Amino acid sequence: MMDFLNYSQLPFIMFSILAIQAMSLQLILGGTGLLSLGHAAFYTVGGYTSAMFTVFIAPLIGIHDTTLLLICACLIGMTGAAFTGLLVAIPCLKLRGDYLAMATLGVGEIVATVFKNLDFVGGTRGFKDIPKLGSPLLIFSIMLVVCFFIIRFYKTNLGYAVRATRDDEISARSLGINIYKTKLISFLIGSSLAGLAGVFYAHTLQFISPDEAGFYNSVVLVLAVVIGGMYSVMGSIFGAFIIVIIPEILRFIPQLINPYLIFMSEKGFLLPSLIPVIDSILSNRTLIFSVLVVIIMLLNPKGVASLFERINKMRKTNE
Amino acid sequence: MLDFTQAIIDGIAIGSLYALIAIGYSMVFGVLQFVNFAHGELFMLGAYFVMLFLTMGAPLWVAILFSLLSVGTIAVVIERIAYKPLRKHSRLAPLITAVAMSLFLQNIIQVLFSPNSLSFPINIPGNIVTLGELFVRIRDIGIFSLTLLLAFLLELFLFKTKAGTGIRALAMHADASKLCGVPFNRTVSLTFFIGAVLAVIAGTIQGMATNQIFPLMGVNAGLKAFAAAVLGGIGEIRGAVLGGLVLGISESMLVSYGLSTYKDGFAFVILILVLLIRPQGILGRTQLVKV
Repeated sequence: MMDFLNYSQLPFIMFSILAIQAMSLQLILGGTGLLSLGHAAFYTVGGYTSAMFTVFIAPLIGIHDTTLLLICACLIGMTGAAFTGLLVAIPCLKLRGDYLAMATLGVGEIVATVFKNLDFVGGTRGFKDIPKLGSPLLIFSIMLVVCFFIIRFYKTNLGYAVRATRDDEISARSLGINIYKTKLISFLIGSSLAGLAGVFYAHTLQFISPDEAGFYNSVVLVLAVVIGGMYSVMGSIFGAFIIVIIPEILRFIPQLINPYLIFMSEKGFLLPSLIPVIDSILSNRTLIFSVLVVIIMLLNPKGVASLFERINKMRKTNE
Repeated sequence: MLDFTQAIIDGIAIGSLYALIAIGYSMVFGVLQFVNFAHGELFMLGAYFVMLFLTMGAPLWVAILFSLLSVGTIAVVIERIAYKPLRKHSRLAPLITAVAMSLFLQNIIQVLFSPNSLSFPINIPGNIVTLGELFVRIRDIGIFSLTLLLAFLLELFLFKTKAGTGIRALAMHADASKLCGVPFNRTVSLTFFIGAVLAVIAGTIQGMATNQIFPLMGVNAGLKAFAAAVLGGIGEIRGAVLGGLVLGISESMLVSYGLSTYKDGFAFVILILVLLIRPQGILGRTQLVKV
């Protein structure tokens, strides 16, 4: 039992962090309808700024209490990410649909390049030896708080304005909603929450690399949002869970399938020389994961939340 | 001024490669309004297939021809399996499957060949001629003229043949073109095939020029070529070529001013700047959005 707890600690933390990120992206993507393909950039900026604070500045101004340090790190990480979000949003939010996606895709790559060139935070090798802060349970409860915050946010006036902007910009504008401001606020909240996730990531793994900001990580976040259902906050948590749990399960696949392969080659259905090839294919988790992603998307392109809606609808028509 | 001209000359070759890959992005976007993020991987696959056929003993032109056919088929199959069923759903679903396909291709090559870089069996020597005070690689001129020739042939194909007209019609108005009898799925497949062909040629040139290929070579090239396509005006062949050259040349200028470590992000800085001034790209046409 202790083994299992120890083993599952890291996936559990990664799940909580990924869920915070996914929910923050859900606000931008599903809530506001802004196609952002550079969300990992904000998360990386959050991680880096808070790490810079705890490593370089905190010892200078004499903050040694871990609770205070963590609070300051969170605030600074969120501010850093929100500031980057502001820099991106002011010009880019004027772009429409696909072009916003293209510009934000660039933001991730630019942030990665900038951190690669900052030698005092480790350059290409990444930022090492960041002090350890926060516990798994704390991160998990922060995730719950973020979840309640976003759900609550959708119920406020601003939250309704955000969703009205998503559904139809022109009719929202005719109702007196300032579209640009609404989008900007939602983008800033989203990016600062992503920064919060980055703070926890940097201070649990005690390491952050510039490649975190890259395109693939942003797409993983989009995947988390879409698997769960774009318009559902809980869906994003579910998506994050799926993304963390699948690779963990895939660890056991080669051992499970190997006996069958040997059995088949003994029966003459399979050339024995193919076994190592199949083994290496099965043990490449990214490979299997990518195939699974395609299958999941093909089976359920609208996400799990739509599945529940469909079941609800069926139940209602049956009554 | 001399440095400036030299930087332009140095950037032309890499710019041409970006241009060749960018055409594929641009054509697919023109037809389906969808960014095929697995396109960079076709560039990598092309180089690997050519190498495979060469080591099997085929002469270069046979290897290239077979590689064109096989990677083109792979591109069409990917479209049929991973994008076509999702066409009617949200824009994000095919985007995710495209990235998943690109991860799949990278990793399958890593498993079947090697995660490390392999040396390409044939290389073009980089002989240099001096023009006054400028240094020019003969190879670069060849790559540049080949790119222009291919772009010209493609334009000829698009404007002079029936299938090419079908692609243009589809890009203009999908429903109307269906009404006029343009076979939708076949035309889309053809578009993917043409894009793949150009990417394979670019991959082969890259392999022959740098003499090494590696499973992740398509990632950076693919993203930059995408930036090039958007820069020039996505959906336009000439835009893609222009965008590729602009990007290649500006990168080589950055290198000549000693900022080579910023090279990878610079493409996107240019991209964002251009998008802010001209959201539709340099040669792109504005699309009216109706209520």
